Amino acid sequence: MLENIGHILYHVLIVIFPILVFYFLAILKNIYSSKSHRGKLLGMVIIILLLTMSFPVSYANGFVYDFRLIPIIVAFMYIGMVPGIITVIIMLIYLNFLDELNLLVFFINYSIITVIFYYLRKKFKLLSLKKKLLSISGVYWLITLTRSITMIKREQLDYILTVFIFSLITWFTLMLVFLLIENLKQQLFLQRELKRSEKLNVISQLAASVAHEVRNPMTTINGFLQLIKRDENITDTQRNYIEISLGELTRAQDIINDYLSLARPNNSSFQVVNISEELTKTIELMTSYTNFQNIEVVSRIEDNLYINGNTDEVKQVFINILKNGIEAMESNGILEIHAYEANKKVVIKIADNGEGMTKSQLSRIGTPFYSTKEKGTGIGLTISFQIIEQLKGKINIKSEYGMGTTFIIELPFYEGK
Amino acid sequence: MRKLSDDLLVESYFKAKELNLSKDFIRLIETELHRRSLAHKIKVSS
Repeated sequence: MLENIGHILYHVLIVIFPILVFYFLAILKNIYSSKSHRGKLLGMVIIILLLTMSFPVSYANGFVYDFRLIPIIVAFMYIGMVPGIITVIIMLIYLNFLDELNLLVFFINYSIITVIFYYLRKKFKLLSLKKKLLSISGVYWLITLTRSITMIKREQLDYILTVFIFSLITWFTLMLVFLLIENLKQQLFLQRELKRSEKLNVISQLAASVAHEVRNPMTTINGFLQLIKRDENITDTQRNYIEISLGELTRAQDIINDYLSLARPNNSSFQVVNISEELTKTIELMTSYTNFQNIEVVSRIEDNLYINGNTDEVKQVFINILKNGIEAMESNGILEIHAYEANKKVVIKIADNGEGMTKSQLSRIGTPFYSTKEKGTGIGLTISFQIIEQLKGKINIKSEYGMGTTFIIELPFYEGK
Repeated sequence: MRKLSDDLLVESYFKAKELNLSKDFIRLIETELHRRSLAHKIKVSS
C-alpha cells in the first residue's frame, strides 16, 4: 500500500510539473497571448497523458489506475473541443498499443464524456472560479462514480477503498491544476491591462499637448473667417459658406476645450461649496434657455447643503445635466430638480419627462464621444462623471424610453467649520 | 500668418479690434507684429 502511495505521488508530480513549467514560461515570455499557445498546451497535455498512462498504478490482478482523466479534462476545458477529441483518440491508440482488451468499453465511456464536456464548455468560460471548480468536480466525480459502479458489477468491492483514495488524490491534483491555469490566465490578463493603461497614460499626456497646439491655428482660422464675414462685397452664398465654416470651427474648438479639461489632471484646490446656492444660481442661468423651450421648472432645494469641492466644476456638472434634460424634451416638458440631505450625503435629483433612453443607450451613457444628440461634443457627461468621481460621489441614472430620465447625484456632505 | 503682408497684418489687427473679435486671435496677431518688429504701427491712441 505504501508503495502504491509513492507511485501515486509520481503521477501527481508528472501532471503538476509540466504545468508549472508551462506556467512560468508563459509568464516570462507571455506565451498565452500568441496564437500557437494552444498547440504548445496540447503538446504538453499529450506528453502528460502518455507519461501517466505508461506507468500506471496496479492495485489488483491486472487492474490499473492512472491520471489520464486530468489531461483529458484540461484539453476539453482549456484548449478546445477538437484538441479534447484528439487527446481522447491518442489515449485510445495508446491503449491499443498497451494491449488493452476492452477498447470498445473505453471508446463508449469516453464518447459519453466527450458529449458531457461539449455541453459544459459552452457555459464554462462565463463561470466564476468557484463555480468552475465545482462544475469540474461534479463531472469528475460523476465519471469516477460510473467507474466504481462497473467495479461493483464485476464484484471487485475489495478494492473500492483503494480506488476511492486514488480518486481523491486525483481530484485534488485536478483542482490544483485548474487553480494554476486560472491563476496564469489572470496574471497574463493583469499584465496586459497594466501595459494598456500605461500606454493610455502616455497617449493622454501627448494628446493634451497636441490639443493645445491645435488651438492656435483654429483661433487664426476663426479670426480671419470673421474678418471675411464683415466684408460687404461677398455674395449671399459665400456668406452662407462662411457661416457654416465658422459653425464647424466653433464645434471643433468646443471639443478641444472639453477634451483639454478632461485630460487636465485635477490640481485645482477644493473649497467648501454651497450646493443650495450654486444649484439655484445654475437653474436661474438656464432660465432663459428653458423659457425659450417653454419648459416648466420645478425645484425643491433644501438650504445649507455643503460639500467639499471645486465650485466651477460642480457648476459645470449641473449645467451639463440640466442641459441634457432640457434638450431631451421637445417643448412643454417639466424639469424637476430636488436637492436634500440624507444619510450624511447631499442628494441631487434632476428629472425630465423627455425622450428617455433604451437599455442599450443607457448602458453607453458617459462613454467618450457617445451622444444621442446631433450637436454637441459627446464628452460633456464623461467629464461630469469624472468630476463626480473626484468629489468621491456617486451618480445613478434611471431612464425609460418614451417616459423620461432621472439623474441622481450623491455627494458626501461637508460637516466642517 | 507669416504669409500676410505687413500692411495687411496691421489692417487685420485694427479690424479685429474694431469688430471685437476673440482676444486670443488679437493676441496672435500682436505676437506676429512683435515678431516682425511692427509693434510701433499699432501704438495709435484712439
